[in-house]
Order: sequence, then C-alpha cells, then structure tokens
Amino acid sequence: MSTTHGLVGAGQPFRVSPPIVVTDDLLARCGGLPPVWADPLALADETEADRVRERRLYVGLAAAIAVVVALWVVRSMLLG
Amino acid sequence: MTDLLPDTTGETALAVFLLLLVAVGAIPVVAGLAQFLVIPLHAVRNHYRETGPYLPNVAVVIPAWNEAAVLTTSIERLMGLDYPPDRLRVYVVDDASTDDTPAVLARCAERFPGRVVHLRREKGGEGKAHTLNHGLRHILAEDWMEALLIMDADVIYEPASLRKMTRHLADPTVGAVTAYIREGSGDPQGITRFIGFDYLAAQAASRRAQNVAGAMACLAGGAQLHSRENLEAIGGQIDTSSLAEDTVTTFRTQLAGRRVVFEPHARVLAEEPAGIDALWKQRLRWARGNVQITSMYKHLWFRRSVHPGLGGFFFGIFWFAILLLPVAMLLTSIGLIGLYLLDSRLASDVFGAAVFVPIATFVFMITLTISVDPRTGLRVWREALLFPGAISFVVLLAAAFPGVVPLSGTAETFWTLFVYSWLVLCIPLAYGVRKLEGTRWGRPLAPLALYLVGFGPMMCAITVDAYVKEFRGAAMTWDKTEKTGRVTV
Repeated sequence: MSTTHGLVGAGQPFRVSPPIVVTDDLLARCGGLPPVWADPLALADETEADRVRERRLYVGLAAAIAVVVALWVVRSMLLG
Repeated sequence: MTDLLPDTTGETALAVFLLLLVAVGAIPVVAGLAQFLVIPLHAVRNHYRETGPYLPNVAVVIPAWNEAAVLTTSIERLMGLDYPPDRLRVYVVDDASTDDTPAVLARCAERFPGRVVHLRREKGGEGKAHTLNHGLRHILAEDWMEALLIMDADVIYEPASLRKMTRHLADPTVGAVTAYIREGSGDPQGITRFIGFDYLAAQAASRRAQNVAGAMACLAGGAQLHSRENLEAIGGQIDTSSLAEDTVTTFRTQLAGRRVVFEPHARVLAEEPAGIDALWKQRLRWARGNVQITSMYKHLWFRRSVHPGLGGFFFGIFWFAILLLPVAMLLTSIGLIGLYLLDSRLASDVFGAAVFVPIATFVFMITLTISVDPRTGLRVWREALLFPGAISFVVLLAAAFPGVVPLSGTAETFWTLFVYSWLVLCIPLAYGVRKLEGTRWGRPLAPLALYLVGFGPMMCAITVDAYVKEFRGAAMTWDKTEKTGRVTV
C-alpha cells in the first residue's frame, strides 16, 4: 500500500469494536450455528483466505503472458 | 502512393512532427500496460496484513427517488447481511419520491423496527449529493454511527461484503473503503454484457493497481464505506458543485491524509442501463465530472509534494490517459495519414513496427482482466474481444497479419487510409449508434451497430461530448438511471 508518511492516524492503536456476546436468542436467529462475525479467529481466517486468494493474480499474469507469446509465435510463423 | 513532397529539411521536420503525433497515441497504450503490469503485485502489496476484526456501528445511507421497484429487495438483502444486526441501521433518504417509495419504506420499517429509518425531503430533484447530505446531517447529529456506508438503492451486497469492508477500517490510517461492483443482471444481453466487462476491467482489475500505487481515483458510488472521523474531517458533507461527488469525496479523503482501500472480495451487484441512451447519460455525467475534477485539482497533478499518490507520475499518466484518449486517437490518426501522404513506405514501416504493441497490450489486458474474476469474465469474453468493436477487431487482425489478404493499387490505398483514419472515425460513428437507437426503425439495429462500432469508441465519444458540454457550460442535470429490479443473485 501507499507510503505511511504524513498519514493521519499513523502510529495510533488499531480500532476495536466491543466483543460480540452470543446469546441463545442470537444463536437461534442464526440457525443454531454461531455466525462468523461472532468469532474473531474465524474473521482472521477469512481475511487470511482472501489474502492468499490474491495469489491467483500470478496465474492470471502467467496466462496473459502465455497468450501474448502464443500470438507472437503464430504471427511470426504466418509472416515467415 | 508516392512521395508528394521534395526531400528537404522541411520534409524531415514534418516527418518528425508526424511521428511525434503517432507517438502520442502510444501514451495511453503504455499507461494501460503499466497499470495492468502492476495488478499482480496486489498479491503481495495489499492491505490485508493491516486489517483487524472490526465491526463498528454502520449506518447505511441510501438516496432514493422513485425507487419503489428495487428498495424492498435491497433492504431485505441488507438486513440479511452477515453482520451483527444491532450494529447495522439503514437510513433511506427519500428525495420527495412521487411513486410508492414512502409506502414501501413504511412496510420495511414495520418489518425491521429500529433498523430502517425513513428520512424524507419535501423538496427534491437537486441530485444525489443534496439527498445524501440530508441524510448525513441527520446521522452525524447522533453519536451512534461509527462508520457510514453510502450505497445506491438498486445495489445488492453479498452477505459477507460489509464485514470484509469494515476490517480495513481497523487501521486508523484508512478513511474509506470501496467494494467490487459487478453488473448484476441475471441474464445480461448486449450492452449490459459490455458493462459487465467494463466493470471487470475498471473495478476488479484497475482498482487493484490503484491499491498498489497508493492512490484511488474513485470510491464506487454504490459502495463506499467511511469512518466517522473521515467524514467529519472532510466536512461532513458531500460535494455539490460537480457531477462527480464520489471522486471529490475520494480525493478529499486522501488529501486529508487518509488512505482509501479497494476490497476486491466484498462483492456488490448493481443494475446498469440496458439502453444506449441511458448509458450515454450516465457516463456523460461521470465524464463531465472527471473534466470538472481535472480543473478543480489542477494544483495536484504531477506534484508529489501535494500528495505522494494522487500527485505521482503514475496516477497522473493514468488519469490523463483516459481523459485525453480521444485526443490521442485523433493525433495518431492525423500522424499516420500525414506520414502516408508524405512517405507511404515510412508510414507503413512505422505502423508495421508499432502495431503489435497495442495488439499485445489489448490481449494482455483482457486475459488478465478475465483472470481476476473468471466466473464473470467467462460470461463476457466475447464482449472483451469486441470491446473496441468488430470493425476495429478486423482492423487489428489485418494489421497483425499483413499480407494475409493481398491488396494492391487503389484498393490497398483505400484500405490503408481507412485503417489509419478508423481510430478517429469510430468516435462519430459511436455517436451515430446512439442516434440510431433513438429512431423507430433503427432501434432494433442499434445493438448490432454497437457490436460493430464498439463499446470503447462509445466511451471516447462520450468523453468528447463531455468536453463539448463543459466548454459550452451546459446545465449540470442529474439524469437518474431507471431501475427495474433486474439484479439477481
């Protein structure tokens, strides 16, 4: 991300929200299973999964380069 | 065609000048390529390591004018978000609607007591920014809101999207977060398929590059989440002086020293125009807004001392490459035709040597774009290939494989001049496609004409229209896009 030079809030502690209390009523409304947002570890896992998913961009880059190279090869062959 | 001018110093100078004109056309191509080469860096240069499990009280503000057809679905989806229910309230700012919007909202407020608030303006029609400001005044007057989500009445959020956005606000340096908006028609046809690809390229792909570069051009109007501190720092109001209030908010946030982050895994579906005229009005508003922004922030461009990201070289080139694309196309066309008249062999050599660069860039960009969201990409890959238009596609093919169709004499001259001039001819033809849709006999032919002329040239034509309207000081009207509730999940 961008440089942190001059950013408002740099060096300040991270924002936190009050913990979620999973009541019986809340559990019932969520179909008996605790929701993801009630579990900080599950939220962290979700973020980690999204972070790792970004590595698919490398596959896209490889595919894009391969298509361009293939086009170049075909063009070279056709044009002699 | 033979040489028309004598071999003099003047001829050489003219040739150099024309070559420079051709080179101007390469700037948007190189800028586009640079932007797309940066995208894969998002795998390592992103904001995920600086997030946290932050679930603030979120006030969702929806500006609405005659949105009865779509509001119920949108509110139901918001109420069903995977987010703590007691930390989510929806404020619908009814801009003096004349349809069933008040009745729809009354029913929603009854179904979700305390979580859906109806704010009504008695005097409406002043545009989205004024409507939002009415809601902001009300929401900021209370202490409850910790983050504010601005959205449109027709957009639908995927269940996990809001919490994927709020996690970035855990970092106090982040002022705003935007999501990935996708064209949401269940069965996209014609123009909505082009918009589907356009959003894939402009949002899912391009905004990742902007994340990497540390400068965001625009928070999506239908999905922008602000921290309370950020809203207060930028004055607690949305800009009403331009047609690009979203972009002004984005720039103000960053100039006030906060980051703007794009979250690609927070997905939002939006209903987009299904007709060319409606699309033209929507995009004209955006394009005019960008022309206004260029003037409003003239002190910013290419000045890193003002802002390291927005004032950076990369961002400036990216911004102007889009804004001045029609000018670049015109100059390139003039350059090529001029060179052809001056020295046909030189023109042919220049064109032959350079043409593979835009072709390779185009192929690279669409392949990478499709790969960032393969599910959407595989639905619209034809529109990706035909984005510059079927005619341009044939021109590019012929340019990539010269000699495959042997031409000689007058036919070759006509073909060459057509290829060199098509870069600029497609722009007025795109305008003609819009006019064609407005005629009774032409309406059925308009989609075919759009595929022939292309979506890209239409965007260029709209940019030209924006220049003209701004130059003439045309009234800044807010043409609302008609919403019918086509979005399906």
